[in-house]
Amino acid sequence: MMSALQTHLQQSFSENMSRQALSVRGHEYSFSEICAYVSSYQDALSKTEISKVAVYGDRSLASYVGVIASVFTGQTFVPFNPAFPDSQNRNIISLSDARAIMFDAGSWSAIQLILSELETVFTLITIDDGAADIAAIRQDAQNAGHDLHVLSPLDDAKAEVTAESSESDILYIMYTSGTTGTPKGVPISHGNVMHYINGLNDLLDIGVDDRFTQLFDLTFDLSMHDIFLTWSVGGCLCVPDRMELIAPKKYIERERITVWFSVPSVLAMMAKLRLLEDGAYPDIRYGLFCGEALPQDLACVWMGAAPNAAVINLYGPTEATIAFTEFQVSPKDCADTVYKNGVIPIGKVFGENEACIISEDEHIISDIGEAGELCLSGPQITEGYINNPEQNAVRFFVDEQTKIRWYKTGDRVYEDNALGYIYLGRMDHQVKIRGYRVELAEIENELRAASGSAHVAAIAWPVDEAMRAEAVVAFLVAPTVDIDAIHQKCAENLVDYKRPSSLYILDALPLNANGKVDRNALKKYLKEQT
Amino acid sequence: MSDVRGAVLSSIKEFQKPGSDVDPSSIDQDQSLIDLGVLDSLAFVNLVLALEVSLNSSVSLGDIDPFLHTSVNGLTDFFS
Repeated sequence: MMSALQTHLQQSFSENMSRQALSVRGHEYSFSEICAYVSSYQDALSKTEISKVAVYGDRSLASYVGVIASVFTGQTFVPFNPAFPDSQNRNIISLSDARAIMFDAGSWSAIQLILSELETVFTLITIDDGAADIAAIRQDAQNAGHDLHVLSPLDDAKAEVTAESSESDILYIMYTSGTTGTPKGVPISHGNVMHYINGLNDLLDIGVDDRFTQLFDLTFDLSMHDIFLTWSVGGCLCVPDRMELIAPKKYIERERITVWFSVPSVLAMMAKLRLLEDGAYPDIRYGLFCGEALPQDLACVWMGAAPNAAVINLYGPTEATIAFTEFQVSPKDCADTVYKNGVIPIGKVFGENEACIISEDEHIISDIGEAGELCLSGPQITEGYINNPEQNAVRFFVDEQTKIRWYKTGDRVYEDNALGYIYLGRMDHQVKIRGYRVELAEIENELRAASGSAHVAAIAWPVDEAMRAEAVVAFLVAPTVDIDAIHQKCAENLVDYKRPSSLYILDALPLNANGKVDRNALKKYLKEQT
Repeated sequence: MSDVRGAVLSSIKEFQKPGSDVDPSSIDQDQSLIDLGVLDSLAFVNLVLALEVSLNSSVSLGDIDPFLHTSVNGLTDFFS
């Protein structure tokens, strides 16, 4: 039997074959054209036993065909990212044990570089966009021992599931920042995603005429919302070029966007460039935000720019499949109410999900208004990190009385009867930089390796009132050190948003009463410096 | 025009990404500074805002086109 997600998507594709499914790199593709590539993919891999495919998120037709073909072919896909250092992409491919790589032919030189230090022989799948030299790619692949398949759209293709998946079969694996520098693999099942899609479809009135943004990198799980929600209702997924993400006004107008989904940082950037003038985007019907705290003032500005849009703040970690709670912001509330810390509440759980708050000694708090760590349970929660029993023991627990399995988010909240959950910040040192989740410990590990000093500390800085950070600042105790060399090392091994923007050399790191690095003292130091 | 180019070049030096230490006049003047890895998108926005102030510009930032205006020549044209 097919999973509910396979059934739902197959039906949605079949019913909307002539409609536009995807707008990418100046071309529009119908559901029928996407199916034509998926059929070619299925033909190419029919004689293989490949169960995991690494998909290169280069914002190309191949990226999206790779994702949907995996669903219809009963495979697990693992996204990797052109913006990541090669070493990180190699790590993702190795850890996931993917044996096939899906990529756009124009990205061959980047793929070649990534594969050059891996000893595995891969099945390579690509789409000929007409611009790449396929014969040369074929020769290169052959020389390295890889098997290359070039997809050609098949005539009269149908939306066909060629291998059935169960609800618990893994649909995708997202690799998130890990404390040791080794990424944590979060497996998300067909059932996890279907419950999310059902929950969102109950909240939103969306359909075949809607045109959805696709701003998130494929390695950020919010992109899964874009792809699966859009195609579950027969809508069109509109992909901006990477450059358009800086100033997306023309993209919104050109693509006639009706459903917007971004991190609040994108709004902040647009506000800075004065792209959020009143009434600028009358066609947008929904403004969805997730990935970091949504500042109230920014939400109000957005409501002026998109006056016909319902604004919904979503919240959820990757481990709970994209988003878990929602709060709908009304223009009246935005103007009349002052929310805690000037941040929009994360609201109440949707779908079949459950949430609770626990105290430091891991007891469930029943008093409304008492702050603690937010825990999540229900059909969207991952089965646990791959090959990581230590982190599974730390992040998941079973309540003895109810036997419910909970995921500890690391987010500090309290509950309000009317508003739902109110976000207060992170429990640990995991922070959000420009919407991306970052473990400061990973950056500290890199700094230790680069400087040879054991005494290092990384701080998210500056952090605004809404608890959003722009960058990371690092401190080192190292009498003789080449700062440029450390920056260079960080540039080689860390993705740009993790690289420290400044390095400070100190005689000693301040310590608190517990003998731990006193981060508040470091923040005070930074405040004094500015 | 040369004043604007000078302001663009010195601002790029000021805003370039940590670890990047390029001489902006020596790079391809038509290529995107973001694609070249000299700026990230946040630094680009901050650079544009700084140029607006330093050049006392009356251009509409809403008209900035990320395909045309993220190179040295593009920024120079935009603010001229």
